[in-house]
Amino acid sequence: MGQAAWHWARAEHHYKFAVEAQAQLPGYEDWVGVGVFYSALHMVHAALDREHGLPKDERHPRKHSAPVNAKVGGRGVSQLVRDIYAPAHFAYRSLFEASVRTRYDMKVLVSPYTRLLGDHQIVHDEIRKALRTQGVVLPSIR
Amino acid sequence: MDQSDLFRFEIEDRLLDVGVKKHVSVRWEPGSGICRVGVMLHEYTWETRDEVLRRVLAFEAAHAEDVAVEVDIFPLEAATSAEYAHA
Repeated sequence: MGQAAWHWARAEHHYKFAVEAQAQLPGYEDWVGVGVFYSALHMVHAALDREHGLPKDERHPRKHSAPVNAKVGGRGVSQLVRDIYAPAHFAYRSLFEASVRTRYDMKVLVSPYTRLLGDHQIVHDEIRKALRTQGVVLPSIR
Repeated sequence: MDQSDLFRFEIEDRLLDVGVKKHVSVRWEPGSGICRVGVMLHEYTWETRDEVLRRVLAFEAAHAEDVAVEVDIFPLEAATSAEYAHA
């Protein structure tokens, strides 16, 4: 379970940063969006590591985005979430988009960080469920 | 007319009844299979942003074999107002 546990620990690390940034760094709350996305990314990597039916490149993807018929390296993380962890798909893609916009203009949206933390919760719960079906129990990071 | 234009027309069509004024840009990268979509919204709220995101993801699903989408959804002010950038 080595890689899955490592990714899960990174997910917790980035989530803790996001929560601390929101609470303790006035004026830098926009980086919450970066922290929660990378936390979600690592959670997905933890689950993919345990998907023994996938080709190696998709168990350890190196790209955020690549289609089914990618010339090299299989699907990207976003597409694997779409195809394997569908209940988390919209929340994950929302976090990915927000991780870039957050540094520019998400402040104009109502309670952006509450929403982003909510998206993170959706991904977290779905990925923990996926890991449990693979016989892997990892603690909640929230 | 190239593939970027064709994808743009399709995405614009999918966004037609999202009831806000918008501008769509598309860059298709055939080597990587990535379609980069930018959507500028004259009204940028969670509701409009999420609806656009849903429909762009539906576009991706319709072309999943050969297309992966990276999307950027942003308000008009981001492109037109220096004051906004400094807010």
